[in-house]
Amino acid sequence: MGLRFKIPLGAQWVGWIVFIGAIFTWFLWVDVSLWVHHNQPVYYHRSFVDLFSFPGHPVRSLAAMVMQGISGCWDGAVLMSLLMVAWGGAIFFIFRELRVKPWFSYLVVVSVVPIVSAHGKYHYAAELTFQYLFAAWFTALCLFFVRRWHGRCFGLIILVFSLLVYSFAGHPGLFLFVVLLSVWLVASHHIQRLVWMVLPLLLPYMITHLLPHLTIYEAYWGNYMVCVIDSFVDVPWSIKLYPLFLLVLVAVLLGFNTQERLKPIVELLVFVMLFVLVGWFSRSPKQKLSVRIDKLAYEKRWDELLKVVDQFGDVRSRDVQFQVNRALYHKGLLLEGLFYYPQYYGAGGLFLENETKGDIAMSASDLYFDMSFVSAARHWANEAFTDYGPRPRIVRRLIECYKLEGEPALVKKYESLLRLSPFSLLDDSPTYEQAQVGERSVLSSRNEVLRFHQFENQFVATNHPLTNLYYVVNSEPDHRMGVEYLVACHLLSGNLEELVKQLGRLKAVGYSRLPEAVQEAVLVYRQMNPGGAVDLCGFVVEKKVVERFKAFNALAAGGFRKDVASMKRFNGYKGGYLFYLTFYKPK
Amino acid sequence: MGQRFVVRVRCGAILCRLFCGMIMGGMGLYGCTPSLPKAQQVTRMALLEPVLHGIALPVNIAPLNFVIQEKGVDYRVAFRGKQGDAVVVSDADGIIRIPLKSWKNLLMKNRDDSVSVNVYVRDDSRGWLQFQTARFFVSSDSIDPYVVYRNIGSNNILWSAMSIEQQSLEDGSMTVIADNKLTRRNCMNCHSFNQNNPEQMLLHLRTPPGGTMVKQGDQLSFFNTQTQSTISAGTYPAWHPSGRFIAFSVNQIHQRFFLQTRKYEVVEDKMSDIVLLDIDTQSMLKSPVLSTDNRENLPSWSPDGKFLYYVLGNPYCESDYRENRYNLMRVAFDENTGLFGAPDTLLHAAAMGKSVSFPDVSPDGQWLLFCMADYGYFTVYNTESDIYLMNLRTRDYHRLDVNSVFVESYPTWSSNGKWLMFVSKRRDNMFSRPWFAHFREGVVSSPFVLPQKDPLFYETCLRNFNRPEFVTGKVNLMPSQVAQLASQKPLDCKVEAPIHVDGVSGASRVMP
Repeated sequence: MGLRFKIPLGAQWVGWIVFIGAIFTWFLWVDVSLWVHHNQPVYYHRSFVDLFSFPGHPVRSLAAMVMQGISGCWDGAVLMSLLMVAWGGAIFFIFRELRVKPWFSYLVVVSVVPIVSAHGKYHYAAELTFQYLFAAWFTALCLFFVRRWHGRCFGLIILVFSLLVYSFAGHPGLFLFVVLLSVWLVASHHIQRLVWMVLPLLLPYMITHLLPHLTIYEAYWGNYMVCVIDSFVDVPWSIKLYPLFLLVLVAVLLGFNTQERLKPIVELLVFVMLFVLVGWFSRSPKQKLSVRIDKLAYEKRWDELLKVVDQFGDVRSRDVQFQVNRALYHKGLLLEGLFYYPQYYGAGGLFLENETKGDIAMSASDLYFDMSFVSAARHWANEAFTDYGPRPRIVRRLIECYKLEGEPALVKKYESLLRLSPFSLLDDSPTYEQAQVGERSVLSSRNEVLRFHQFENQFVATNHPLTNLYYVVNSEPDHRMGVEYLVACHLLSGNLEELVKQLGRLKAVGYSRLPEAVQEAVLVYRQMNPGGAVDLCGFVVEKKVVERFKAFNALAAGGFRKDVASMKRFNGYKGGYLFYLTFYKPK
Repeated sequence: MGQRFVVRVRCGAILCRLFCGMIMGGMGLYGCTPSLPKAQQVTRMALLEPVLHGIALPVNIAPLNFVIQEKGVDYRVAFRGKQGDAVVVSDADGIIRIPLKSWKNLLMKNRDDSVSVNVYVRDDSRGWLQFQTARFFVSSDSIDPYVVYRNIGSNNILWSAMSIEQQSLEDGSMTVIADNKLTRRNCMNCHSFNQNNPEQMLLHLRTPPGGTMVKQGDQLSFFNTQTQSTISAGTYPAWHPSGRFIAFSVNQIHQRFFLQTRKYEVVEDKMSDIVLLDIDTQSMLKSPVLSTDNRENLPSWSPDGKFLYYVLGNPYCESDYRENRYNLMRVAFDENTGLFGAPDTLLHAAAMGKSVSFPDVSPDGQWLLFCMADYGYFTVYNTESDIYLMNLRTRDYHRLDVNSVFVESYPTWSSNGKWLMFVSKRRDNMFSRPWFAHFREGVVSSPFVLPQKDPLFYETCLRNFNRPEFVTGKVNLMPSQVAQLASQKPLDCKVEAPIHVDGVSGASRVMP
């Protein structure tokens, strides 16, 4: 009994197609456009001489240019799948003498796995994929000439291709070239020719004499092995050491003496299982969500942002919380909807800057730009520029800020930089006139900005956002965003004494009734300070809020713990301030 | 609001340029000199960036490549002096790169005379146009062959890539002396030379790894100048001409960022003093004269080593940054005893609502360059900061004509005293560039910017040329040497026998 599958002719081809399909699906899930958003690859073309100023620069530039052009998940998945096919193809051509071996297909498949899986982390530098790919194809081409000329001029061919690989694909490419070639020489029983591998290994040293700005250390290890802060800092070690992985892989497979071939259907299942396992362990949904939320916030798709977070469920990420709060403000729901999301980070979910770090700099800049707080937005954008260099997103922000500040020479300079990109990066940025009539909450007119920043002896409180908020609301009392963030900040930090002093500000920005969370906070304050009077500035605490407050207290009087079971008992109070104070407020 | 990038692939244009470049390069190889066209006259000068008209250039300067900022489809420029052949350069985009050899010949043959610059632009509708002739003067006073500067991004709280680089003023080539990629991205600053001598150099490497590198010939030493008795490691240095002493300021520095628009940053010292490092004994010498409750800062020696010039500010005023002002001082120094005399106020700038910084005495000891701004000493952020010149014999001083409405700061002299260099942010109010001007008997010519091989270099360069210093030759130091030194433990400097000082800061460490 039981079904008996009979794989049609060309079962291996079916296997390959399924495998490529799996890769495509994987990249579709990863969404390469998120990687592009997060890493902002960009190529600025200065001159062809500049292109060769550093070994590996041509391919890195090409990679940046290609990746820069990806705008959606589909084109990203197609491109990356093609690259992986090209990668497998290169391995196939390099070791084609070995294709009669039963494990050959495993070699091809397994060789792409680390690179494919590394893309599950959005910090991975795609430049390395391109550098390895170029190196692999150069190796295949090199071996084509070796085979064609039957090993004659072997040293010369090696030297020429080493030079090509090193110039175009840099030191990672060169190491892969050496490894692939060495493995091929061993596998094809030309061990005595391994001595020629000295040539590519000496090449970086020789290049340092041609390029005086290149140190020997850099020539062999490049930037990303040395520095702490660099675009390559987050490259997984599995990829940095990829050539060694390949060496071990081939060595292990060479060690198999079995001539028995697995049945194609089993082989196919092994491939798919292998891929599913690798994919499962290298996926990072939380990181993906974080990048996706950042992208949606950047594109100001607030509704979609909130929808995505709602769908994801319980999110414990300060970055995400920060963007959710921004989205709530832009939807006009900050004070009403604040506690419908678990504010695990308290006031830390409103601002990210308790210390100056590059990875929060652009988020901080975005927030202050929303507030028309141009000097702070520009300051943080400059901090981001220092850490991440001329990424288009950062440069565009600087252009916007300097336009508002009235620095035409600087605007021109940054625009000139963006014009060096083969892709136009300027068309969507607002012109000076657009900036002047932009939506108030997003972009104040220049005159307003100047009025806002009129005080001479005042400084941006770089790591004290509350000080900045007070500056905003004191200098512009009808600044809605400033007031709402200030009230939210006091609510989240539980500083009710300060909160009750700010109620009048809500009136100034057009509130006709106090948000319910604020009403609850007033009741809490009154309970904690029985003798203290609160000036409600004409607002009232509504009856239904008082009743709910009493009901909550009565329920709480029965005792509770900060666990899931207790939270369930208080489910009816979710979205309220008391629920936050009881279950979420950080110490 | 989605960002929709309109893909405008310019590969065709790039390839076209490459092809044209090859053709033009080929023409150059075979010695084809473009001829000058017959043209209509235009009654104004062509807009050139950087400006050439009216400047004085040293005879040994690298080609001052430039961009013609006029609309056109073809461009030619003819340089003519009284002596020698004309040099004609053409370019389809108006980006003029002058061949090094021809330029050198032109300047050499026309020393102490002017060179004319005729610009021709071909307009689609009007054909060739010839603009009014511009002229620059070629001085036989040569300039030092190298400039050493720190290549750094715009100053923020964070820092990332920075390097100490040297650029040849004679051919425009650049080499790196130290690169923080190799020293764990630490901050490196305040490179300094003794009398422009490339063999005597110092450089601070801030933590980690930290210390002060001192290069004397081929010998490299690494000192830890932070002691129990000083508020910080040595900061702003000045090398005594004898080579034995280095005067350092010790500073508690902090930075603040303005809320105002178009005003960016202020760097201030809460406390500062001046101490002396004796290199021979590796000891820090303190003087009650230079370690007071006030803030002594920015030391600079006279060329004979008999006087130390510095700036002196009142105790720090946190509530209003505009109240932090510095006067110009000098104090006599006895090299044999290591003792200082009584301080002398050269310019009581604070009384005039001004603040002095970065004094630098000319090699002949007669002139003093300094900056003056409305407040503070870190004038690279003071838009109103200008360069002044003082005659040390008469103590008369005046604002130089080289200034702009933007920042001018960090003035310094060439080794022969014929050229001065300063940084200016006149192009964009953000990025500092080195500018040079000829000096003769108190008269200063119009300045020119540091020449670059790529005429478009400054258009997109988002880095600062920080603390540019003249040197009389190439600094023989490799980044790997600096990195190797930085990996070693620095020699701790000791403090000389305690001297009673009144200061709450500096030489007497602030105790908790």
